[in-house]
Amino acid sequence: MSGAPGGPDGPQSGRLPERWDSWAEMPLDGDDRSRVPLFLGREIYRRRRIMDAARLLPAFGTALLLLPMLWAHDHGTAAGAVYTFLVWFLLIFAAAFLAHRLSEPLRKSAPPPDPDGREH
Amino acid sequence: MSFNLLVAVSLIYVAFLFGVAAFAERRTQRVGGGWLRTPLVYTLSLSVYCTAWTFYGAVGYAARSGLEFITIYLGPTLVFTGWWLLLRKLVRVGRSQRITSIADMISSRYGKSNGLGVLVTILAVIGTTPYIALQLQSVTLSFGVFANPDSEFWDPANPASTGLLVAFGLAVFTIIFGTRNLNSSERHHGVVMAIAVEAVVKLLALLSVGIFVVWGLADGPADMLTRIDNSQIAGWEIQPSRWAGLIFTSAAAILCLPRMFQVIVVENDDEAHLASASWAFPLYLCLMSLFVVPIAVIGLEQMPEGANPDLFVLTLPLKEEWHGLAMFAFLGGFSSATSMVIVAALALATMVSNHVVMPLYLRRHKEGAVVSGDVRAVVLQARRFAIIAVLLFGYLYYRFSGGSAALASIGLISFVGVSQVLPALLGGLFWRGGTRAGAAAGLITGFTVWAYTLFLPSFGPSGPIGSQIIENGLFGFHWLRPQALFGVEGMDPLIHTLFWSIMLNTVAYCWVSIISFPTPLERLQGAQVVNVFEHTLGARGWTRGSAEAEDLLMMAQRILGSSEAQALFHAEASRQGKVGYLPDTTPEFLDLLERELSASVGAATAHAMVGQIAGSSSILVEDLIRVADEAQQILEYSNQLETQSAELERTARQLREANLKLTELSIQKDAFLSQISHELRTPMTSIRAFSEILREGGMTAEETGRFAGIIHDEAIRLTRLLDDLLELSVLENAQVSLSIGPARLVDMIDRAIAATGEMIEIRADGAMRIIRDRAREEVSLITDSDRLTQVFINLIGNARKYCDADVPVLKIRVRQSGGRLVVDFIDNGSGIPARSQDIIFEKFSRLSDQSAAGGAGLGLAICREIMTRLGGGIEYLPGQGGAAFRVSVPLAEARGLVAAAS
Repeated sequence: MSGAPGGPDGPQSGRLPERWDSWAEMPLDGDDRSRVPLFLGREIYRRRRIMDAARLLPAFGTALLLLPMLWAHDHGTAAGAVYTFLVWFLLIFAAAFLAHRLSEPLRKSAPPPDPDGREH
Repeated sequence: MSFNLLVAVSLIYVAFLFGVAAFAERRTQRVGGGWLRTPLVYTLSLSVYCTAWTFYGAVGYAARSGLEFITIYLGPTLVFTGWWLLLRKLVRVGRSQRITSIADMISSRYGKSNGLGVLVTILAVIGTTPYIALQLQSVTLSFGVFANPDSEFWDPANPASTGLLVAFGLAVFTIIFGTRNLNSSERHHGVVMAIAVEAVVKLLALLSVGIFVVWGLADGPADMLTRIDNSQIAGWEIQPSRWAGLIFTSAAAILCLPRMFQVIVVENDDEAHLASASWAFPLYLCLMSLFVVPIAVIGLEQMPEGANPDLFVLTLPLKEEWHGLAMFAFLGGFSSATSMVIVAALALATMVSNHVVMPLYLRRHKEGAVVSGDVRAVVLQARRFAIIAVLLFGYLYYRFSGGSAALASIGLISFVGVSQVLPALLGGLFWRGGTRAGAAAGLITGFTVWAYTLFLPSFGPSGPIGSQIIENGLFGFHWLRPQALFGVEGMDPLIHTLFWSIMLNTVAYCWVSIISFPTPLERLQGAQVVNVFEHTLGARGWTRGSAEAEDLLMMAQRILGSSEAQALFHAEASRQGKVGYLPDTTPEFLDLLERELSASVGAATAHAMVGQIAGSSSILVEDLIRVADEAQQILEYSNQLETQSAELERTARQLREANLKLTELSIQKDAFLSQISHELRTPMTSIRAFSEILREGGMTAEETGRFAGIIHDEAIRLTRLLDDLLELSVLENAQVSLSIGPARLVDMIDRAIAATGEMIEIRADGAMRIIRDRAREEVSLITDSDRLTQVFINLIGNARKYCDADVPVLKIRVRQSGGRLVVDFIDNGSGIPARSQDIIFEKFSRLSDQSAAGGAGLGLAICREIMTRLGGGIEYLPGQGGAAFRVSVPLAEARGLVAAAS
């Protein structure tokens, strides 16, 4: 096993060493930051941020929809319904906008691939 | 309004639905999907979430608890607005792994484990059956609203008749359009199209009633808000735990409900549809909820005391004599109920046939997979019976559960039940560490808690969990009270169950996952599911085994159908560059085949079927070890090659060096030969010349004596040359005998210096200064002192002869290191050029320096031979500012010998 010229502890060896000297040396699971380039094109950068927004939207919506727990006792059902539906429509519009932006690359490309559904 | 008209309209509507489904099926077969596969149809098909429980029950819920009903629709809204995070991955996994149901999803993720599939199937059946009963009840109740109480031959409100009829009709529809064929994509365009139409009907129906209520009975939105504020439900008695808990439950349910999984994942044609549904489906839910509160408020206001609020949607128009609207509302409710039942029955039947019936069938027919014959018939038959069984269960549950009181809350109970799949589902999608054992532990824990604290108590005091247990706990354990587990009292029973079941479920799932170790197949599937967006996984499920293409074809034909299977095999064969229908059974092909099969019969069954032919199981630990070993072997082999090539290089370098040395030597030898012939010839010439002169005679005695002296000197010179040659030859052939004895180094060096002082008188100014450290030279050795002295003489003599410094100095340094005695002779001349350092110890090598004649170039060669005999060595020491030679003699050995001698 230790016949490799680089020695068993060499970085090119497939086996992990028995122990590390410090936390900093230990490889982290999925630590592949080095693969991702640091700078992206403006378009891709914008697209990434739209994806971030799409991920954040449900958290934002959850917070807004849980809000009535704080003030519902002081306001009636009517006010609650108005508030809830307003938030609801807000979420729908936000989701529609994000879905529109996210599927832009699909629209740009030529007609969609054969929608046969069978991918071989 | 005539009840008979209602029945007639219902039948016409049902016939219309059959027509729509049949049209969609035929169109799909003829020209492909086309407009049938648009985001709109996909979104509308998701509306099976809105069942009769929504259509009728939401109004009733609002009439009882105000705005709380809306949580059931807010959870799915959040899930869909967050589609990028979760649903996209779920759909991608479903498509890439050819998932057929939620049970298949869990089973496939956790190493195609059929046990998990069965577990989820049981959970789904138990969670869904009451829900189906609820739909049957709502249809029966709504019929009852229109019933003519005088009818003597048929009471439509009688569950025994109407419920059974409805269940029968739905079974027929589901069987016709849900089990028509076993296609590889497992999509049912007819069914999807029919429920899309029903979605439009129920939305329009509810909106119509809502508009009728807001603008007909009330005076527009402003008036409506005032009326709400003056109604019984004006105050919003929000219970924060229920508000948050129900939003969570509904969000979990839309992911885990078998029917929702069916329409979201299995029936999905294109991931892009999800983007549209992300806002369109929340919009649908929003519109469905928009008029719920107004209808409830107006119903409470205008309907007599004690009227069933669940039926306000029907009874309000009827009371105002709007029969057409009432009929439309009835059709809306009918649509809600039927679409849910159809999809739920289809989803459950798929699970039951794939995870229960097929494994049993395969086990009973061990030889199974290779004999000819169509298994498709078995699968379809199993599904048909499963559909009938599911609907029958629903009907029986409805008949014997005690009617409406028990069923009213069953919707939420069912939601919490199916939510138990959530930890295993989310963990499976995002955490590679989740294992089969963990998933099973979580599911069983959550399911048990749910059944014990919520489901079984829902049967009422006469059910399996009576008031005795509710008050005192199971077996009298106080902390096991179903509605106050671990002594935590005062929680709403539903939230209590939700909290404990999901928490214990998650804890069990994570804990068992962390302490258990997954099988190779689990790890493979885990990686493929979690990293579904990275297409970097080259891992193969199957190894090239003994699978016979013919056997595989035979089996595939039985499941996919002859033509489909043959087309698949033919395509693969031609892709491999072969003619005919039998491709090589490469791992890639086995993978492809398994995926195709799993779309029809589920991952676990497909895996088992291919496994029957291709070998016991795809990846055994041994296989992995073997693969790892092969990799290791390759690594070692390449290491060996590397070592070998390094060695070759070293050898080549040595050879090059040797070659250089040989070339140098050859030049040296040539030079030496001319030199030695010159050396031999010169004395010979003078000997011959002077002996001829002597032979001629006629000389004075003085002259004769002088000539004879010259001849003698020249002869001695010749003799010395020949002696050297002879000695070297003797040494080299190991014929010399050493006379080993004790000796002191300082004596030997003294002798050598004295001898060279006598011998060498070539340099006129010959006074070479010799620097010594006599104290360090006081070393005793056991060696051949004559021979060693000879070496020293040679070295000192060389220094005297060849040192070209103006003030020649020779330093003799003595040192002991590593059990050896090291004596360095360092002069301050120009040293030996690097080019020649290699060859000075060779025979006949003599540097081109002609200043000192007399040497034959054998001295150092003799020295080396002597030192080798004495177990030591002599080498040139470069970088000392002059010629430097290092003589080393073993010391430890010598000491031992000294000790032995004394």
